[in-house]
Amino acid sequence: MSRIGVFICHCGENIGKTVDCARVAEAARQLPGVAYAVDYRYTCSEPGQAQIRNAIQEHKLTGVVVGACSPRMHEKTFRKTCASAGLNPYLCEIANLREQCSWVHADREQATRKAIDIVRSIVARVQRNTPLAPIRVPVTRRALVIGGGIAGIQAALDIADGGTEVILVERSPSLGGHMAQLSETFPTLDCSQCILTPRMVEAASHPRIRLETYSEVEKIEGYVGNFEVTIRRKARSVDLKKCTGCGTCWQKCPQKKLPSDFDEGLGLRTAIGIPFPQAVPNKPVIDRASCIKFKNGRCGACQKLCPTGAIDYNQQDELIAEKVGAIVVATGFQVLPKDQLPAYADGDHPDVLTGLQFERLASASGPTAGEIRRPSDGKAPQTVVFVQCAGSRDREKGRAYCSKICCMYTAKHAMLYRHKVHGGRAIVLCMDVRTPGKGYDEFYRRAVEQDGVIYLRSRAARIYGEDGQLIVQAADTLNGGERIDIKADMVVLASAAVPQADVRTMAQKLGIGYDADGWLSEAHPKLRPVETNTAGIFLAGACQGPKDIPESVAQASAAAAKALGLFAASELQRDPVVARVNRQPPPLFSTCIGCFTCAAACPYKAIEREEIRDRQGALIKQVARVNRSLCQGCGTCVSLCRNKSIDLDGFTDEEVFSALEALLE
Amino acid sequence: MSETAKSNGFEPRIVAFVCKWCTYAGADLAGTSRMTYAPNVRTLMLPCTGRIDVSFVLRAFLDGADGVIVSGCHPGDCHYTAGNYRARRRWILFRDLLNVIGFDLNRFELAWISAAEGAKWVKTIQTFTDKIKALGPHDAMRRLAADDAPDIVPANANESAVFRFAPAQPADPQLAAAAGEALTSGKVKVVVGWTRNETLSRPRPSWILSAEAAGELVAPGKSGNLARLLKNPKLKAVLPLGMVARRSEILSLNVLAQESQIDPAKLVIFAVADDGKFLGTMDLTAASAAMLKELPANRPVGFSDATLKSLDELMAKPPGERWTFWREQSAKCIKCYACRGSCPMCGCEQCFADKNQPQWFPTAADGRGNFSWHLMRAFHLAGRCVGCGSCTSACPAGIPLDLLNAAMARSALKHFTHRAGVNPSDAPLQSDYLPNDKEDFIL
Repeated sequence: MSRIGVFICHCGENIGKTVDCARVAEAARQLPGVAYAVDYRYTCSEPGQAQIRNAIQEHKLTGVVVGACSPRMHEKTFRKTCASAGLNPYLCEIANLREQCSWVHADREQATRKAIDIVRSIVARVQRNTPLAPIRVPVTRRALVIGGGIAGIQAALDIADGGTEVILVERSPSLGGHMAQLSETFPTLDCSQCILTPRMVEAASHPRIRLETYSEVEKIEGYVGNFEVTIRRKARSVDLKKCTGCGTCWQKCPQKKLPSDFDEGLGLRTAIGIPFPQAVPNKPVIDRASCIKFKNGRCGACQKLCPTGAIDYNQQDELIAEKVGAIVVATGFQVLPKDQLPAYADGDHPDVLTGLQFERLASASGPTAGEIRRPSDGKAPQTVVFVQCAGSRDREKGRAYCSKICCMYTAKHAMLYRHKVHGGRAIVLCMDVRTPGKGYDEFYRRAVEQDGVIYLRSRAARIYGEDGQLIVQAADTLNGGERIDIKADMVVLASAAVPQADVRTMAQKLGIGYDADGWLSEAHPKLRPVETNTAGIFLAGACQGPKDIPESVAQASAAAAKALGLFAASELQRDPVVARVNRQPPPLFSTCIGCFTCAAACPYKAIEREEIRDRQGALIKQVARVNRSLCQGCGTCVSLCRNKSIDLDGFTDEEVFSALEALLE
Repeated sequence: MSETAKSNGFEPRIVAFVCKWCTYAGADLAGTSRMTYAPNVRTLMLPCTGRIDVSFVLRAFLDGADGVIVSGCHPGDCHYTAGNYRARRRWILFRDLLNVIGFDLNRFELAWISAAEGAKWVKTIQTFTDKIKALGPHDAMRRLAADDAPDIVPANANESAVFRFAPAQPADPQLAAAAGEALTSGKVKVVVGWTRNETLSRPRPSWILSAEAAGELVAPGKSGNLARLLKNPKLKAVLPLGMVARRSEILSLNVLAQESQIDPAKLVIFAVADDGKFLGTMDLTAASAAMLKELPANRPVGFSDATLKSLDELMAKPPGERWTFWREQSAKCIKCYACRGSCPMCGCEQCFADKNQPQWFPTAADGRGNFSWHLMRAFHLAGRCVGCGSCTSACPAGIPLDLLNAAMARSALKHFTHRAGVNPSDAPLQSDYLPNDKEDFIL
């Protein structure tokens, strides 16, 4: 039996000035099923809410309608009020008498009649509402962090320090990412490895972090709180349990002239080895594509010489299955390859470098032990031109965005160069200089005022070699556009930051979105920067968009906080406005005929196939079933179902029908 | 609501179905910004335009709404990522259907209004309200009520009926032999085919369970669609199942397979050409390849030329005449549901028409109930009807149902290059979408 309470709010003058609230309450009182109706000045106030609570108890109300401001304002408030009085919160509905009535219609009579219609409709609707309870989803208290750069490491440390186990997967042989390749970091010029390696070691030795390096995520299934992940441990050809990292193998490896990826092609490496001296774990990998043993069966020196017998040429990739509750994606970025900038010496000149290559030159552990030398002839360059925005901010080249970090690292590079080559000329070609961080502008001013770096406002139109001389064609736009051709000994390009080459494949594995440029999509650009549209999957670092180290670390900690929030209770509580397939008594079991038109339409893949079997195990029929942990409550499935076997709790067909019918009475 | 109110202060009743995240918020913004607009609109909030069933719109009109607006997030901005894309596809089809029956499309407005577009909400509502005021009350739907029925129109056998009942002809002897052999060897446990109807001389849909009965098989002729027998759960469970199949059966079987109603791996097809010639025993894939090649790309499959011609003639009439035509036709309906029973695609164990919580459409054989039934059935068949004509020939009142189905098949082809049953790997038409599905009517 229906006993609905109707509370019409004046909202001071906001509603009351235009709508005759007393008359609306009187009309409500006459509606069938309404046990109590009243109008009040400020229903959301403490006494207003108390009025609702008292009415629920005194009149034994089975439902509440509040005629007030938009439900987007106070639906939560009034539902809480009802819950505190013992009425299920989903038995409370709001009639919008303000934003869509009193505030937009001038005529008192018409506005009042509209208010009466709306209230009548919502009263009819709420009589069909059913009590709903939050959905409880069990949670596996474990996190997966994909990517072992600074963002991934920070996220892993924060989650682990928060008391939860973390699996940290990194596809290269060592943690560190691009930050390990940097020499010094802005704006402090402290050594990158010095601040990074302690974190790397901490992550490796943390009791709650399990490192899976030289591994990749193969497959992800499941949903928030209940992900099932398959990780591929790629074959290092080294038994990690036996290897002590003594280094004998890579010191003796005869294959010594391979280009080093870590040194961005400026240095050499061996076929077996670690990517850089401070690698974590400090255990080598055999590059089977270049190793003589794998290519033609000869050599085998490392195995012969290894004191612990850790070399295993027969090692295979291993697939391991893990269950986690949350995933943090920290897969980082890469630097635009030079060959994508044909105007800049076709990407082919040895003395035209990317910013990352310059980092390796400047780095004390780099191929030139920190000395700035031209790759072509090993001489110290006397004039270095730094070209900003190489590939960024260029709509025609398909990359309209700003790569954010380059103005700062260009200033840094110019300063480092001036510190190392006294008397050398550093010329920066820029459009602007963007230094928005703490201490950033001061850093740039230091480059100009103390280190004598010359800034010219110009894009580099062309870079080419002529008779062995590198020439950079520019124009001094602050001085009437006078053409300047700079004879450079070296050019450093502030190459655009771009997403990883396989980001789209990875995003599709995870079921998360990415934008037109390939940066992973956050759930809301302002208010939800570390969540994705897929519950339980979070973003950290440059994979979401170019950013510097402080921002990557901040975002990583934010993602960790979100993951820890998921783990705060042993169960997740979800909004119960989700779809449901009906069940009927045998022999029908459900009116669903298993056509799965609904499943094909669900944006969240939340509809599964369920087999209904008899007691002997014989299959009776296949029907659809909604995964209440994944369904977001859009209701697309409901409108597509031809025989109406699926309905949306909170917006059922009955509720909508009643609201519509009553509206047009 | 006064009927004579057209020029004297007629206040239209307008219902707006809007999505919670965009349009409802946009409407709220209009309020927060204190913009004013006509007070005729009443808004019903739903989580997403994807949730807005076409039944809601139809019901609103049946209940007396003079105008209906549907509005949601812009394509690409759906809070649930893709609900509005499916909605868009649905409205493209539904609007075409409304057009076939001569409905005044001016009374049905669609718009994409974002949470930032308070001004667009105001403009859309105001313009629409003014338009409906000028058009007057929506009498057409109201007059479908039984007490306003047109003069009784004689219920003849359908003049545009695809075929007449023809006497059964003997089956191709190779067909009988193949069926018998398949039963003997156990390749199939039942053969669904045509036998002679003893009372009338025409072919009768049936099945045989033994090789001895293979001699009873007759040629399919032009009528019916055996695939509908698969709605019988006991028959469907006799596997492997063999079926004497012409093109219309093959198309239907492909749709049923797409909708998980049959397992093609457990089907054996005895393929028969339109002239009765036996083409061979094969699986569904091979039968599709054999019988569905060289289908003309610019017309829906299955429907006869006569049907399509009748449809063209109907569409050449002005909307008012089309409305009158359908009003008269649906008045003939006696709600026997023979159309539903004879259709292989109408396999729902409990049809939406039989649902009473809520009862969206009246089950009685009155104007409103009949009209709604035929409209919704045609809409449910959009992208699924293979044009076999069974419903039209089964209808005892001679209602030209094939015209509605052909119109929907044409829409599916024109807008989405979709043809029922031709490509087994197609997703269901209305579950699918393309980011650039085209329409020219959503504001």
